[in-house]
Amino acid sequence: MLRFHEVRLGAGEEAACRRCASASEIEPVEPAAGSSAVLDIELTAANSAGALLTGTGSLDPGSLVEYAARLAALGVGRIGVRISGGNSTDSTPMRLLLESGVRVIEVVFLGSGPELHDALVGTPGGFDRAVGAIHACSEAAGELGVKVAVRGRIRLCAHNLHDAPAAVMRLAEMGVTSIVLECDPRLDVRRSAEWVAAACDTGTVNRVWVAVTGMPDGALGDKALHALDVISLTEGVA
Amino acid sequence: MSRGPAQKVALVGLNSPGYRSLALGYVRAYAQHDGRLAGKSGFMTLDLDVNVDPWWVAYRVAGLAPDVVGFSVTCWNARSVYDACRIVRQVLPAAYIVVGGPEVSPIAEDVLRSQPAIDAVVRGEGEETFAELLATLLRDRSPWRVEGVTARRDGEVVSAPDRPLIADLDAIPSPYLTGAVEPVEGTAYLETYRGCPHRCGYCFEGKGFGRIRSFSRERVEAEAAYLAQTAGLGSFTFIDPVFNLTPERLEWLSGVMEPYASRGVRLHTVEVDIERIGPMQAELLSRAGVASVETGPQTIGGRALEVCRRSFHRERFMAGVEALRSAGIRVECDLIVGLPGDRPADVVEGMRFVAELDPGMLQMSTLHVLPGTDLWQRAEEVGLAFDPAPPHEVVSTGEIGFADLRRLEVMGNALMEHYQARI
Repeated sequence: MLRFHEVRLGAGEEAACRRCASASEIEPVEPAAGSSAVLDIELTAANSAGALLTGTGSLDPGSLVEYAARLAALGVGRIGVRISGGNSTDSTPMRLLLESGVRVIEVVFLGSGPELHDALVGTPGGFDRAVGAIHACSEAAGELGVKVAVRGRIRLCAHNLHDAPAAVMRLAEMGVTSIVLECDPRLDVRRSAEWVAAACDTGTVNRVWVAVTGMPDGALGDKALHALDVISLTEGVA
Repeated sequence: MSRGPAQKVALVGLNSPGYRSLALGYVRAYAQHDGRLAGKSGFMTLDLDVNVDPWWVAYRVAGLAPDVVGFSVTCWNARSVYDACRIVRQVLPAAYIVVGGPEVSPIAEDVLRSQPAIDAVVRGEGEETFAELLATLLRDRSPWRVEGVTARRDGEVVSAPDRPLIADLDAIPSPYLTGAVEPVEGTAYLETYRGCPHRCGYCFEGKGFGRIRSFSRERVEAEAAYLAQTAGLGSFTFIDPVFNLTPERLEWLSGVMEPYASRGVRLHTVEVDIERIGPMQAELLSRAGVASVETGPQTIGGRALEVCRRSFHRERFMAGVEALRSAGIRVECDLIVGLPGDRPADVVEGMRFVAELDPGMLQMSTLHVLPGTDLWQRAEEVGLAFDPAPPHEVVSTGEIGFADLRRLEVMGNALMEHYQARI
């Protein structure tokens, strides 16, 4: 519906399950080609609609603000940033991000609480930092008088499947606008469908939209609407 | 020592925060100028927020010690009004409690049967009927004989015949020019005609008024001039169902508003028929100071359009949005979730359409099956189940079950919030 172009500023996301992934998959990588020239190409592709900056793990906070400001200056109306509670950019003052034009903050979670999230990510304090980012975002948006959408992205794998409904509940309590349940394609559908369905229902009852990715067609049964997201991401790598 | 009026009348509006009831203003303006009530009836208006606790509404009403209490009722405030009426009845056992408005008018007898605290319902256009009801009460005559009134007679609920519509709307004194409504800081409503050229199945905008009746141009111009010079009132809105009713009318209104627009007065969320807007009409709206308009499409699903007796022409709609956007006017596109005939895919397609159109503002709402509307009357035929209690939200349709409707509502809300999160 709302088209966002994913602009990956660096490869690798830190908030991934270490028990699932091999070390090479989760190692933060320096931005491959985060130059403004390459970014401009991405902007052309984005058609000035929306852009979600991802892979920000190894950027310094100042660069992230700079990228967002540049996108804003080039006329991109909707700018989002994905953060994950373990990135160096998470320390970027939220106020600066919003002032630079960021209006969507997508925060990655692997669990409903610090025990599970931090254990899976392997970064102590990551959960609290992610939660802190959401609170800081609400506070800064209020101070600046701007409308900001906060999205939760819950990465589901065999190690946290059972926690999905609780994680949705936790994010709903924090007042997020929507949630993406990103299911590991390696998940056993027969085993996961029930948990995913319960997570979707938890969202609906708490009036937060839960969109599911990574499940095969038909796996959601009578909850097929949850395969739809209000944001459609097209991928790209800077 | 002066004596008070023989009949003290309290008019109570439970409104959206920051608004005052124009309906009560009309009713009061008319009654205050009715010769039969002159010197005998005194009027007080209480404009309160709909969220005020009914106990405090009753507290404020009781403080006025009225003989007659009148409430304006819509689907949005009905529950609060009924709660307040029950308490007022206990506090003021002798008070005559009257309700009127779109929520109660078409189902007057049901309302009196289910709400024992209420004495009478004013049906249809309220101005003449309410004034005559007050005159009847003053003379201690039978209220149930008054045209347009449903009331109690020896424990039974009785409806007098309908009252014909007021032929000349100028017979209703202006609520603003007579001081019946004091514009407050913020915004105010203006009405230039009654009735609607459309017959959408879910809407009560026409309120059963079969034809369009207009206030005189002189009257509208005088009201606009009065509102435009009110301190602190930087904007107001026209509640006409279609602001661009005819090209001539649009040109006239644009001319009326242009001098005020040049001084910074803005019109917000006027409703337009967007498929009849091109660059020229957009320019007229811009000159009138229109900052934002509200429009459909409500749905783009063919079957729902047919059931709801609406039309939708995709290209003309898009051209209208583009013309307005080019003129710097923000467009609010409305979609209704739960219209009969729409399947989930139709609703989602509607969301996609308006999101990609990028009009400036999206408004998603759930169908409310309002009393007196075509859908209310044909609910069973078209497969609608809805909550009989106000605000009458749809429960399920023939095409979408209860659970998917709730999901679509939540998805729609998420889309609205994400849409608004932009620079």
